[in-house]
Amino acid sequence: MARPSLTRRRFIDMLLAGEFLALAAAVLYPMFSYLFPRASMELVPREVKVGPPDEIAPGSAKLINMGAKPVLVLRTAGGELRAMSAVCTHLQCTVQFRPELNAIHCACHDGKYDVAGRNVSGPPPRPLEPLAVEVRDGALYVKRV
Amino acid sequence: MLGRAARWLDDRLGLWPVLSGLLKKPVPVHAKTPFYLLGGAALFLFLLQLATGVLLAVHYHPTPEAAHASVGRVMGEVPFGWLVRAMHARGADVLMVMVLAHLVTTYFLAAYRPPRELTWLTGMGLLLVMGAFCFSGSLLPWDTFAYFATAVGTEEARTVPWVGEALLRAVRGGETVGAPTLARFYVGHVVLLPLAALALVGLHVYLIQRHGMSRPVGETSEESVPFFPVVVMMDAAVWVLLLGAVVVLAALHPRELGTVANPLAPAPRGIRPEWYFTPAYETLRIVPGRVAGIDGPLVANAFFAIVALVWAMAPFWDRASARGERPVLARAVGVATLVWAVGISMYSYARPQ
Repeated sequence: MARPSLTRRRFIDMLLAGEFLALAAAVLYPMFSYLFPRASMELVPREVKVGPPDEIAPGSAKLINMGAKPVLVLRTAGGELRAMSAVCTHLQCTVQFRPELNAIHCACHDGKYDVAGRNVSGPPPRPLEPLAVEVRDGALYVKRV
Repeated sequence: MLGRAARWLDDRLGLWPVLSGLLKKPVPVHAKTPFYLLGGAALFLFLLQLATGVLLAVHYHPTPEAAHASVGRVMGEVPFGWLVRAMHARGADVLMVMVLAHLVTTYFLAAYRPPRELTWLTGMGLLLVMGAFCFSGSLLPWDTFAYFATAVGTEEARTVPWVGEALLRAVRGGETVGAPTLARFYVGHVVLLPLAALALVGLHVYLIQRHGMSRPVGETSEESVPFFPVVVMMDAAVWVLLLGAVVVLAALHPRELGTVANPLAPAPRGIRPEWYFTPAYETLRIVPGRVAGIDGPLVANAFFAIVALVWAMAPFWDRASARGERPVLARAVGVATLVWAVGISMYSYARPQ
């Protein structure tokens, strides 16, 4: 009689290995799920109220929170209001407006943007994410575009 | 030889034959040169970090609301707290000096050649663990520097192909650096990394006992000295000097505590990482945002990973030293790495800020 290719011993070995893998998965899956943060609902509001528009003088800027993300609201020397994400596009540091340079600067790796948020020097690969400004009922609002 | 109490103990433990063997073991005579004391020095400094770290943990509160104030209290109110905290911070600097010096001398002496490949690999693992200790520990005071160092450092996880986003969120415990990040870094710093370090140190030291100290390529002298008392005495002298050096550094040049982290504030001007992360930092600063259409930080991180891998795999590609010849290629690779790391660090500190 020919030996069956799947012996009883090999069958039981495979069964045991399968059980071991299932046990490992049963232990590891809850561990990984426990450690992984739940996807947040990204509670970023569609718009946020900044305050009275003349609070920001020409050639100055203000950082506000839009959900968990910082937003830069600045008024150019010419008086125009602009808003953009304050998160540097290089490695996500928070940028600042520097009036003496008339530019937006990220101190982490010396990235520079102009007052329109366009990356002009240093490592940032993209412009800052633009946001819309709106003056309504005597108050300044920043809105997602 | 043994007192009665010691004999009673050893009748039960049975460790004396092992211990006396270790103490009497012969050590190659060139191990008396200072290069061969660096590993022991790193071990001593690691134990010192464990001691000061345990003391700090007694008064530390790992939440964004309380962390900064609790470190401030240790520095300002707890008796000798200023010393313990400064010794932990400066001890980390001195430990990194010793670890890197040990790494470089071991590399250039080609001490990794067979049969010591695993000793070398456990050492590389320890270097990684020490870097993770420094990185996670720097967040714990929760000051402005800590916050941005962690924000940038963790952000680099995003550049890992395919799993970057998931990795980033797992490390931070959320989208941004916050309370979950602090909790994770704390657990890593005081539980996981110490366990990993102790296991690796144990393996590393065991392997050194098993294979003995390596002799440099071309060294023919078979002369040796007993481990005890000759090498033990030199180790002890170095360790006492190091303890003094850490205390003096801590007293004269303590690590300051910055203003409490404010996620809404911009990154402060002139922010820069510790000296041991400077080569990576300055490279990230120089590499443009996009290199030939590829994400700049990804290019930089791929470069760091390749350099680390080439060093870690030295025992497997450096065939010359295994044959007892001069490891010309390994030395060229070593010198090139050092020129990059030292050169870019000097540039980083010298350039106008």
